[in-house]
Amino acid sequence: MNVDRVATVAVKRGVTLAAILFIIVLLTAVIIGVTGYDVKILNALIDERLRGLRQTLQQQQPPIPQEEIERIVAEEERKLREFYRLDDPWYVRLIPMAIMTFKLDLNITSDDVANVAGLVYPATVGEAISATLPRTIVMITVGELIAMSIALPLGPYIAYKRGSVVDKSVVTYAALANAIPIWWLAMLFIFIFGYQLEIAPTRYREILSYLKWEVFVENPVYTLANILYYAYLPILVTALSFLGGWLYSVRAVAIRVVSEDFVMVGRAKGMPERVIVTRYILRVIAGPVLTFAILGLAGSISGFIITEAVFNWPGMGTLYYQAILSGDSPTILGVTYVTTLAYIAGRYILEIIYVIVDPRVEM
Amino acid sequence: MSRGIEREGVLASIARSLKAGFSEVWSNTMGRVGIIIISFIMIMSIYALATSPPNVSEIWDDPYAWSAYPRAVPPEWVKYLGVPVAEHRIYEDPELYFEGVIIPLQGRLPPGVEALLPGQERIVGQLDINTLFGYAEIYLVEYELAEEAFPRDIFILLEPINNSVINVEGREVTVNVIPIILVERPDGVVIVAHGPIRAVPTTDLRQLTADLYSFWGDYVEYFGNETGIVLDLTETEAKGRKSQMIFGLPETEKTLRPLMGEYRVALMLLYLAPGVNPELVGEAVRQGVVGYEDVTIIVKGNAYGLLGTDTNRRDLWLALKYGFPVAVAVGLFAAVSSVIIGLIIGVVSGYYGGIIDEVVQRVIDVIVNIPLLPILILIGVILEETTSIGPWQIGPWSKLFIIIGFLVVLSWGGLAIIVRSMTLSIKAEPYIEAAVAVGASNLRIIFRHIIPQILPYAMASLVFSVPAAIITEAGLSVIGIEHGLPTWGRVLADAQAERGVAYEMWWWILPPGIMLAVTSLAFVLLGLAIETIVEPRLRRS
Repeated sequence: MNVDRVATVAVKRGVTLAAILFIIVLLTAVIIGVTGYDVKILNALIDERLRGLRQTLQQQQPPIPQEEIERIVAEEERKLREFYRLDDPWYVRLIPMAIMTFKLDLNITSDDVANVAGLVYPATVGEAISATLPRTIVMITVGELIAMSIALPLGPYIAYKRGSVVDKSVVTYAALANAIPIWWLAMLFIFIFGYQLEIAPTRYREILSYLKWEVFVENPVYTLANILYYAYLPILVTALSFLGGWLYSVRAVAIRVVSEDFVMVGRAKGMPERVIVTRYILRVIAGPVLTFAILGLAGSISGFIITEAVFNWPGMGTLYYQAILSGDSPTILGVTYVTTLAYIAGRYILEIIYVIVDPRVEM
Repeated sequence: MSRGIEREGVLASIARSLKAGFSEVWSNTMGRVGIIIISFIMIMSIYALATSPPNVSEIWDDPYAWSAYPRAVPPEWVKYLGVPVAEHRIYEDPELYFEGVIIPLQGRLPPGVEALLPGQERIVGQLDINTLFGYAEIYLVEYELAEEAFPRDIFILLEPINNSVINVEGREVTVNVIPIILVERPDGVVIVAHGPIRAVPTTDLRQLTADLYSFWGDYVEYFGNETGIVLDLTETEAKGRKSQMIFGLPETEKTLRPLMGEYRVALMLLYLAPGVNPELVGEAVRQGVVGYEDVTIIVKGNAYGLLGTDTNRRDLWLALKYGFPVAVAVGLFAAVSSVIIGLIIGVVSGYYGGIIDEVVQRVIDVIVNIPLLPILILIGVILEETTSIGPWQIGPWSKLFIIIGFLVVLSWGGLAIIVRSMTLSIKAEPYIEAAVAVGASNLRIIFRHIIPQILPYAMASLVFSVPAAIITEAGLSVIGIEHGLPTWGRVLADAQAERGVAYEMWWWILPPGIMLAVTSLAFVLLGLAIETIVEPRLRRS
């Protein structure tokens, strides 16, 4: 592995992607500026600040007369409106808006949204996201890892047995998995396993009570068992859904390799199947498979976010869902930004891995 | 310049290859299944557009439009699966059993009503015969409860004549009406399903349902004596068991058992005007000056229609039907647009190269790094609050297509990249060089040599993109973005919002999901078939 080469690519690509991120944030700021959505966001933030100010003032000892409180609050409102340039045309707010998004300098405006994160209202968008994002990333990663660890060994084996019953059923399964939206699969599974057979929970928000450190320390086994109880159905659904895509792409790539001459030579030489697979095939297909992984990432994230909302799992998806239902515009903006950031970061990591794995690639 | 060989025109050759392609796909099993399902979808879409009212989304959102339907009931055909079903019956032109003046007589029933209530002792409910005074119209229908199931409610729809005022000796008087619903059961008991509670002007009465408080207390007492079982229900429980009481007998303190047999449901409309002789009121009613043009009596069954109803009493078949054309429109529009854009830009970028290529590649790099769903959510949320952009009004269809427009803008990148690399490799072929040498123009080379080779791949890509757009729209609905149209995604979204009860209603969550899956599957199979044909290496030899 050529460290020099990888490092050059990492830096070059990193800079490009950072620039792309900035462009995207700018475009987002333009969209919300032109449509007036930024005004809604800023108003929400201002109302939040005023509410906090009013509360602080009302709790002062000795008590301040109500008229005085109102005067101070009105003055503050005027200052804030000027600060955020609310009375100016939208393009004046463009850059400040973009910067604010970058720094996630936003407050949440509703109770239900804070609950998803497990926080108490009021809280900032940054806090909510840092609470929910890890949960989402963990679920997606676990699901992908499970799918990958089944598909990678299985794929080449199936490519061998092309045309057989196993092959045909795998292709059918992959086609079905692609056709059925993962979130509907979630609904179906909740219906069957949760409501009909009653071997899975129906309210997933409860897992929050088991994710606290104190609870875990008190009774580790019990807590872990409960976490698993709440997590197994979402993990199952996620893995099943990712598996279809993985199996199909590994198989498709493996088919091209399996018919190559060097594989035939390996067989003729009498090499055991397993060695052929690991030494010859896997190494070759790693590259294209990673490409598929990168391409599939978008679909995975989108599908998974909605699936989370269906499960009411306390992650980014449900955060989105609650924010949309409550009309919580700062949260929506914040989550959109963070998801974009996570997406770009994910692609970046995968591209770096791709370069490491495949020596032929130059970027 | 004449040539010795006849060459067919471009259009004819495209038509010929399409026809050849079609028969190849048809001979492939997967392709055949795909084509059959897609044809079915197309037929359903046309059928849906032909049979649906023009303002479907308004009707879907209007609770008043669904008040005559039972709430949250399964489809009618569950009876074939052994589930006891109380029939849902709509009596559109009920028999006018009696019309005439009613005057309270001491201790005796007025003649018309007497025939209706043979055993006065067996009246259960708040009905004091002596207070019945006025001009009465009594409608009577017969309902048979043939299985051990409870109907859901009694519901009356009325279409009042647009006038409630009559002229009596120079005075203008408003005619009021007191509605009464009586149910004669197989066991001879007559329940006052809606007692004479209050009088309203005739034009104000449009809907009527059974009223719990007209009979609850009496019911518990009467049947407590008769059966020895005294119902002990809270108010909420009683409201839920309203029609169970009407159509059943107490079984335990908390539950009831259906009473099968022949029922007679009577609607009495008692017209009166203060200080006016009921004969005159009757005259006005008979002449059609006041009163009701249409009376419809409905006994809401515990099953309805092809696909049942949801918790808002909406007929799910309507949404499922309407979902077909929306899905087709969304899918085809998104797929065709993004493929055309991707194809053109890819070819142009690959063929002309140079700075165009550089710019295009940078742009694609940006687009490809934008995650689809979050941006669509942002657009969707912004659109939810918008009713007009500048001078144009934005309705549900417009909102949907703006969202899909953004979907297209973010989707063409993937295809463009592949088309570009295919163009590059074709460009390097010797026959291209030859064509240039002979003096062929750029456009000619592109359309004659490059595009025909890329087209099959583009077709496969198009077919694969169709379900993606449909599912994205459904997914957006489920996560809360409303554009207003009733689509399969919208039905599932409504179920998700009511998940506590909706997940027990299989007829709510299964059909839309199955339709989405089947539609996707059809296009995926078709795409696989095309791909198999186009890429010989994948063919089963």
